Amino acid sequence: MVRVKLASGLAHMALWLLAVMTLSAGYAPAAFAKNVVKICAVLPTSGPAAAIGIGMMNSMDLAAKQINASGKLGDIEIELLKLDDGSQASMGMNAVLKAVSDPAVLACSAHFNSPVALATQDVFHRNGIANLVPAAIIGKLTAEQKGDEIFRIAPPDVWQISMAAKFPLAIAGKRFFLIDDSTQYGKSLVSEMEKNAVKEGGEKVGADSIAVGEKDFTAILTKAKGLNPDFIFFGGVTTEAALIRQQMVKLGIKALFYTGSGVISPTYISIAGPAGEGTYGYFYGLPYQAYPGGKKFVDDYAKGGYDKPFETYGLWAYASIEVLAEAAKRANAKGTLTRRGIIDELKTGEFPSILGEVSFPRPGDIKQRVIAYYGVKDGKWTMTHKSDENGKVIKLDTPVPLDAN
Amino acid sequence: MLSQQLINATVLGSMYALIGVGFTLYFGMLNLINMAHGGIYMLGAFIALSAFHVGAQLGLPPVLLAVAVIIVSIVLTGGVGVVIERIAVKPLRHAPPLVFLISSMAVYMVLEELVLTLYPNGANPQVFPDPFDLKSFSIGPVVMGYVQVFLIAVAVLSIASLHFVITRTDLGRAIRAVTADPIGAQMMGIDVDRTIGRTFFIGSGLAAVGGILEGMNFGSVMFNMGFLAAIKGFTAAVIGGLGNVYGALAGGFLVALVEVMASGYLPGGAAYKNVITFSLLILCLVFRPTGLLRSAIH
Repeated sequence: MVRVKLASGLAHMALWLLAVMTLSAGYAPAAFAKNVVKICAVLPTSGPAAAIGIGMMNSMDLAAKQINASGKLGDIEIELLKLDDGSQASMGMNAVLKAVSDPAVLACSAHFNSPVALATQDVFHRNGIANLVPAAIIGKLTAEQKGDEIFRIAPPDVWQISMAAKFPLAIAGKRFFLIDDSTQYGKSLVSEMEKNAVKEGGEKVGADSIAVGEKDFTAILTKAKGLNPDFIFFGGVTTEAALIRQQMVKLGIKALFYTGSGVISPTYISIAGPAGEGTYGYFYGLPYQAYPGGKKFVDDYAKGGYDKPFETYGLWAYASIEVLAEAAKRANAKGTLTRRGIIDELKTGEFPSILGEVSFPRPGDIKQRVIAYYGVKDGKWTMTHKSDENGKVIKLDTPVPLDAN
Repeated sequence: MLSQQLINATVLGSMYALIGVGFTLYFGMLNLINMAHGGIYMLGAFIALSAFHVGAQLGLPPVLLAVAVIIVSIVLTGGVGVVIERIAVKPLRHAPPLVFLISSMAVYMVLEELVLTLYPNGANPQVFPDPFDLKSFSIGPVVMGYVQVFLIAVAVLSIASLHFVITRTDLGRAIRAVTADPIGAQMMGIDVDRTIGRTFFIGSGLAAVGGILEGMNFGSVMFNMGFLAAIKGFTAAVIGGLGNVYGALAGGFLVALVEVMASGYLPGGAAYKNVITFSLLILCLVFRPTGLLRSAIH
């Protein structure tokens, strides 16, 4: 018996040795050639925002492949550590904890949902690792962070609304009615809109809340109609927005229907149908053709063999990886290729990307910002106006469709 | 504004009344609460939606198509109701009511999951066509979509047909007899099994009409639309007194009126309208379990 055990133990050891030798033989030359920098990508690739999350993840994947293939990083190579946050704070937390425990991970680009990003921000702070947030827009994520680890390639919601509040006053009129969907997102959108619109000379004629999942909004719309507003602003997402718009049309309400970027999607148009025409929303992104690398990105993505579209935020996801790779390259050149080294690069540098040059002055949000206004025209979200740096609303000579693939 | 709110409530009430009638019919006849009814309501809407897509290729004029679609959906959904009765109700007729409640929930889930997985892109809301292209007209301050006039007409017609069947036909007499006393009815030569099967056909057909009204009115349907509708319909049936057909109809309009008035006249009421409706249900179950309208109509 003992002899059998000993023999099998020896055989195991021999196998292990063989395996280790084979692995190191295969691995060593690669490790010798390139220094691998891991970047964690944490996005909702399952759950309610999976379509958007997968589009972003694919875009990041494309970015990593193209950057490595171009050879512009010199003796380093980036590798994505892809993790799923499922749009849930708890899942996001687990994913980020797993990522930061790997010493080879030097930076992250994590989260689409604001509540998830807020939940994990302390982990990035405690571990001194940069998170270049690709989409979550809640203002306090960067503005109230404890350290300097959180950066964001999107403008914060508070700034967006301060610009966006001027638009309906410019094109519709002063009197407004507010509807929120009783979620934190909807309520904060509506209260910021009220604050800013009143500051710009608007007059609130009424407000009400609805519940997500409800379908009949005729009662509150009838109430709104009696108050005769120039525009109705809705803080909420696609399905309820489409139903509200339809019922507005059926009730003969002529006021402008204005909402946030959460509604700018092809789904809105398909549910609202012809009633959707004339709806307006604001978004911090331009149609992809307007960006220096937009056209090339769309073409490359199509050739990349991904089975899902890149959706609304693909460009920003791609650019996030470009920025992190460039920051790693610069840190490497200075001999500071560490987590802290990358943060220092992000704080001070300007980075080329498909969005153009980008930089992240304190508190870490992107400096190069724009707000564009999209209306539904002939069944397409079409950009018709934009705000300049001072918030002046400018009408475009020729409207450009968003063309969200 | 009040007149507009009353119109809003009438449209909504038509849907609640049509689904509520099924609950009350089944309860009156079998003492059963059939949670599968919400699934039937949703299925009726999806059968109609599929029929719309088929019919649109035949090039029928929209209003005629809408009528044809409703008839197709009533027949098919009614048929499904009869099958469900055979599979999940008849074998349990002498089991405790709780067993049937559980079995009917299982049937509801099966129907929901079937539509979710089998209907193309079933997890998303589906666009439901409006045969009148969102056109509306106004009388004074009141604006009404043509589709809403159509829906109210369909609801009134369905309710009138139900009234006719129950009061003027042999089937109606049999339904009333079985509801009052199944054993006595059987001794008088009424085929109880067949009567119950036909009642399921009627209840399911009316629920299908309710589902179609919801689809046409809101322009979209989704696989999970049956749940809330079932609870609202059940509330309507309880308020009207379970087992009382006219009570359920009145209950449906009452629930709608309460919701619309709460949304329209209470500050912030729209977000709480379900809370208000279901509080009404609880109060009713506690203080008037036989229904608010029992004595008034019976």
